[in-house]
Amino acid sequence: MKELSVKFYLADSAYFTALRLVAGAVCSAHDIDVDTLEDFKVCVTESAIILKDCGFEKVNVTFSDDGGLCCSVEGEGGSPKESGNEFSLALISALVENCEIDRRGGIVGRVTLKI
Amino acid sequence: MTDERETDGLFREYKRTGDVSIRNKLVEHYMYIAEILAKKFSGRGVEYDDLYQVASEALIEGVEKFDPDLGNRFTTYITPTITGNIKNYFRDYSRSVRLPRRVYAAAAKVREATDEFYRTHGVKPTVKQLSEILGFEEELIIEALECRSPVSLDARVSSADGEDDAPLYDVVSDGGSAFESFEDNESLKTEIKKLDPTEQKVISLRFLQGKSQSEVGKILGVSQMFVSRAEKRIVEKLKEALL
Repeated sequence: MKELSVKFYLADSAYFTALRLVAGAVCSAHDIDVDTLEDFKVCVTESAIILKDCGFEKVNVTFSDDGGLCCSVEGEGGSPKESGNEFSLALISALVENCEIDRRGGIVGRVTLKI
Repeated sequence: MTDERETDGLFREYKRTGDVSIRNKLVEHYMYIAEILAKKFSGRGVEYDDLYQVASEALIEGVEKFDPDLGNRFTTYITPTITGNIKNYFRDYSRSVRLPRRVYAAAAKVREATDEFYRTHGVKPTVKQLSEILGFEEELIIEALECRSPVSLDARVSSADGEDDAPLYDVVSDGGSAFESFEDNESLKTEIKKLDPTEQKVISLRFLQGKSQSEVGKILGVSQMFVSRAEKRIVEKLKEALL
């Protein structure tokens, strides 16, 4: 797998389940055990929810193979604002091997996860 | 009951006596707030009746916790509480999975095979390994992993040392008493102190304050599923440190 992207409107909650299924399938393709897979799915969807809380309209989720499974969850459009998601971010960092949070003017704009 | 002084008096009496009939009287009096808020959020993909139930439960809980002597009016206090509960319900509902029946049937087998694999090999299986064991397509296993079936309180669960098993109702938190004895354990206390502040907060809410995963999720603004994963990770970390 070079890269696989999923993009959807955050207001459409039905796609969160679709995102979880895609995340699960990508983990499966990487032979990741089911426990790590569950952590990863939760972190991917929770990252998207953080971006939704920040006021983004769409989310662009890109899975890639970068010496391990990597997932970039990036907000697009809307009217981004600061949101109190520090706790969610701290938990995500605790659940995945590597988590990078990109902020633009204090607003979380992208979460990158790596396992 | 029209007077605020009268309702405040009832709240004080309820706080003092715990008399359920007083609580019910207050709930009936303020039920209109639950109705208004449930109506406000209806027509967005969730039935009004379900929202009304969520709002009513939040109202009852609010009446039980409200203290008029803290200076707030009940209506000011309860409106954001009910709204928050409804929003959380939307969040959980939007993430609840509605998958075909065959997937639910497969889910039970996937769980069983996962546990068996862990008992035998000491590690969790991959989807491919589960597929080989069960003879299911990998896609079906990925879908099955999305299922969250309700568990009976009579279901048997393994104890922390992996030896005896016990009914779930024995191990579900009962308001903190289980962890009080845990707290006496000095080595455990030391290990808990080594956790980062976020993890300590989860432990504190879940075990010292006896809150459910859903309640912890609501307090921290994350999903129940998220709390569940975090808790599992923290407990594993503690177990490893104490071995």
